[in-house]
Amino acid sequence: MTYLRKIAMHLTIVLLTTLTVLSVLAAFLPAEGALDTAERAQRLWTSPPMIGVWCVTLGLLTVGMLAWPGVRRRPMVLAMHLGTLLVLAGMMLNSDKAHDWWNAARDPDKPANGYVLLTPEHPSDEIFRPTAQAAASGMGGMANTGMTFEEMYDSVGTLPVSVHLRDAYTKYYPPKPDRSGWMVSLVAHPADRENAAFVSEPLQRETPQLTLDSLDTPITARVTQVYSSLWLDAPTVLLADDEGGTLFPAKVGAEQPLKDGSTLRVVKYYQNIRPGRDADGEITIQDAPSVAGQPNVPAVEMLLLDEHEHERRVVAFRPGLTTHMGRPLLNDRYLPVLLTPSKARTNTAPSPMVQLELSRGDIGPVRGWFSPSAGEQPDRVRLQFLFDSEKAWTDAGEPMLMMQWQQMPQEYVAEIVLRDGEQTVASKSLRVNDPLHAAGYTFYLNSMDDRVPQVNLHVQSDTGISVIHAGMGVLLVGLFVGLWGGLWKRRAAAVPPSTSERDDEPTDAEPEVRE
Amino acid sequence: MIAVLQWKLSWDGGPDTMQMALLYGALLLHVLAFAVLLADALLRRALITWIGWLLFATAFLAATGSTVYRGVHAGHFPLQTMFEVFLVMGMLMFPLSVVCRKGLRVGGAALDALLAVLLLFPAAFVERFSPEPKLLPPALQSPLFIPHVATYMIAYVALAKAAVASVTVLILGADRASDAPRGLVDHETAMDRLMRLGFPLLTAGLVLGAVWAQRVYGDFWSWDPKEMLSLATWLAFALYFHARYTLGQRRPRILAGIVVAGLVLMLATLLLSQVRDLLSWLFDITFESYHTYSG
Repeated sequence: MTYLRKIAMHLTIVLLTTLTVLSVLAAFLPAEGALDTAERAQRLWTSPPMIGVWCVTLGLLTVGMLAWPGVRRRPMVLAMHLGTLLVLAGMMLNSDKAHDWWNAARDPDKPANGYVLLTPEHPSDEIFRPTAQAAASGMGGMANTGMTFEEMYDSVGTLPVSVHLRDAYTKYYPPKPDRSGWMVSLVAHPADRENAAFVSEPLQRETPQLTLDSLDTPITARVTQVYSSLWLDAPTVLLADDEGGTLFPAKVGAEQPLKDGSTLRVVKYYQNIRPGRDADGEITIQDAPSVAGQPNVPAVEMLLLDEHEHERRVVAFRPGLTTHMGRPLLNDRYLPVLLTPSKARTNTAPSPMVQLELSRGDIGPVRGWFSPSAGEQPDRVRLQFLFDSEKAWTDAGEPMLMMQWQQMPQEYVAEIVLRDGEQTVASKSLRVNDPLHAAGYTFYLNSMDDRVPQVNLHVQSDTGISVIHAGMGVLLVGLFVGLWGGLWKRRAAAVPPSTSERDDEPTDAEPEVRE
Repeated sequence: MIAVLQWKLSWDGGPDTMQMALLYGALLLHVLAFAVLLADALLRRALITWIGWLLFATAFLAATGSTVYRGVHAGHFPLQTMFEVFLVMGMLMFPLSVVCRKGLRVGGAALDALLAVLLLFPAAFVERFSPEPKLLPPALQSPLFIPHVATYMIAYVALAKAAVASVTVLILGADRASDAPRGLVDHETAMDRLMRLGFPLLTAGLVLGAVWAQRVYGDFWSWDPKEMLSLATWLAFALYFHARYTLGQRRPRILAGIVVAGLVLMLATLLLSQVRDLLSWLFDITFESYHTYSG
């Protein structure tokens, strides 16, 4: 027995050393092809030889608990080993491989993990995993990689419930009040590496002027006004002039008197305005249904009634599109824009709005409103819209205005409902640190791209999780009580776990403290 | 030194001057505390002891001031960036030293002050550990964030102190390692007590991280390099306890060697992105890691 214990102890030392070396190795495996360091580490640690090593580890922990009186008779030392054993066993139960083996024997299958792909219109119970091909291309999404859905995802099974996405949005940190970190840029030939030209100015305190003078005919952009904090709870029209601005609701029937005696009246609100042509070839505008994957373009149609009862139709768009389509400039003084409250920015201050004056050669100055949209990508406005004239931009490629800010997501939220047929099983407002446990799975919201109305919900099987949690608890109690117990006695008789392998009943003696 | 401080203060300017002034003050006071406590270890005069501990305590107050200022400035508990992590670890050395001396009868106050200097130095002078505070991304907004990192920081300073003791054991060898300074335990016992102090905390940090990861990503374990190295550290320290069980106190140098190896792995975990940059630069290879935000 003593001899066997000696072998087991040496095996334990060798095993711990081997696992340490393998962990270090796994941390420094260089990325290889589509596999990054973590994926290579996972392959190494879950390979068939390593499964053998894990089984040996489980065996040694069991032997340790049974064969050593020093472990068996000390509850806390026993707890350390039992806890480790439970954690390891739970991890093995929860692993992909264990699920594969179980699934070979049971019907229906229970996939270990994957993604449920949801849009508000399409509930789903299907679990997908990214294909090797998709993983190799870095998961840039279908739009970026040009892959079809089938090339991107493999179906690996179904959930016992269907998942409905009620709503999904991102909350952002409010921009800094001093506008530090904000940049306005002018770019010419953005797609052409050889000829690309770029000028950038911080949008802080003063109103900057940017000139792209590397072009044959320079473009100048002057920031004339900056609104840094507008709070909105409903669609609103901003009418800004040199002395400031006026806000009034973009509600049909609302009227706003202007300083020159004329009146502006809202006659129609468009959820998604689209241009068209009537039978005579005249340009018309209409409210079009939303198209999945494309942002709506809201607009407001107003009538300007001057003192002589003359009517003029005015359409205001969101910032960046203001001078596009028709003649939205009211007169030299006013430039109306439509502001809509963004769900993405609930509970945060809205982003700044910038009024620009653009000129190029003998064209302009043209005024336009400009605002970054939500998302981490900088907002871009193609200047062709702002100039409303082809001549101004032909030799500059498609010059763009960009506004950049370090916009940090504060929270992702996805409201989901789980249904079994017609019956609601569970519902929850998912956040990154707040998953939903239901139907044998846990549903996670990892991240979100709020430019695409789609949420990839991570689902993970619950098998073995409670074993892991129990193991962690037992391990920690064992360690804190076992190792800290007796540590705080000032003088004698503190307890090392044991001093020698020879005595199966180690004495609790520690050398006396010499004063 | 003074010239550098002046240059730094004038160069930083703005709202962070207070932050940096407190940090440089803490650094300077720790240097002084180290010098005086070292003199105390050699001369053993009551007055010098008293001055040394007074300096150490004042240094702690300055570091605490810097940490609190940082927390208020950043708007969250300051354990997100490397700057904050080094600042907090430096701050922890004084309380650790007191707890070890009074509770565990483990000495080494002068070396603790030196360790604080080494920990505060990167926060103060290494440009890449920028003092600019950051906003918390959604994944870090968890009630487990502070317990996970704070537990790790306490474990790290305790185990770093254990490693300092183990270096002493390595130098002194089996015979002299059992010599006990006045009123304190011998070096080998000191190393063991510090290991016993730090290891449960290290495990708690690892477990809290795994539970947090499971709540955020669905997996306890993501095979991420930082995780693999933290596991390596844990395994190496677990090896220490098994080796001590097997060898007893007969081979203190082997045990001390394991602790030093554990320290190397611990440092590699903490400074992973720096180690990886170095490896990438040396061998032209690339890595990916989830823990990049800790940078």
